Amino acid sequence: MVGRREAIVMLVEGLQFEEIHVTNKVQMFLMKLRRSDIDERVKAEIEKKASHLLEETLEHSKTLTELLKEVAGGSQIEY
Amino acid sequence: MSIEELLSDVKEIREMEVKARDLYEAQLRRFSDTSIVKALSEISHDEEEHIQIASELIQVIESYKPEDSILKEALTAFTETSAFLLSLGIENYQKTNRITLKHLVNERGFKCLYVAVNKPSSSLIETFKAGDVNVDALSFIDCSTVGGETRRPTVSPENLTELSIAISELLKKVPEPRYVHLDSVSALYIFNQNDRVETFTHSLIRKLKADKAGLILVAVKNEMDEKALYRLRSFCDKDLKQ
Repeated sequence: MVGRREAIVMLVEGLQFEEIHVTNKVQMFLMKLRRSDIDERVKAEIEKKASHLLEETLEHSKTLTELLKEVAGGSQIEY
Repeated sequence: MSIEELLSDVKEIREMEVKARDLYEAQLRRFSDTSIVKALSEISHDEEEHIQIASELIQVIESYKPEDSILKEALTAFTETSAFLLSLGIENYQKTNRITLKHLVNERGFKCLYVAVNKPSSSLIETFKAGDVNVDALSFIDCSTVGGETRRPTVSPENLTELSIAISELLKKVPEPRYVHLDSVSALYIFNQNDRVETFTHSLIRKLKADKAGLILVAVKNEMDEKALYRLRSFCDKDLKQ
């Protein structure tokens, strides 16, 4: 069980990691992939998997943002 | 963008996914609020899946070999007496033709007698120039601009005897090492009966081998039936499937 303040810090840590590190890295990877000379068939296979990974990472950011809102605006003292 | 760079990126992504999973696992041990635990468990489960996806991507990139290099590798076996079939799908037609010409003409110094059945030589020359093919090493026989304005020899694709004579005559002017690039044998099936094309091809292969000239037979698979393709394969030394 953690206090409200600590809960916010922990959720922000996760959110920052998803938004700043993972999302940026996967987006950059996709951009580089599209510009690369890799054969189209292989490129499409890689792009499909990396895009799925990106979509879910964006979903994680949304979920963490929602949790943060609830914790920050909630009345509970511990979580 | 190099393969090495993409590989390094995806390895970094996998490390990030591992860190993310470990972070949520550690947080899960501390939270007791059910809605937070449920959400973080789902995210952590996704991260596990992401690690798997990133590992698969690493495998795909590590084992990747460009189609160009596979074709070039196969073409290294081509000599002045080889007859290679280049059977390909329409989607690979232009690219494969360009790679073949660049390898044989630019890199290995072959002079080429190009029999243009699919497209007029004027249009092919523009495409080849744009693809950095040394067009000075090419001579053409046009089979698709009969009656049109062209300075190059023209033969009707329906007249295979005349085409055979034209190839023999013009080949005399092509210095060694040389080869004939028939683009495409599959288009000849549109104008002629199967058996006539097969007799023509078989005889051409024999003549060219005797004259010390190689042959690349381009066959667009979408333009011909499987039986005809099978017979062409049996005439040739190798089928470079694309």
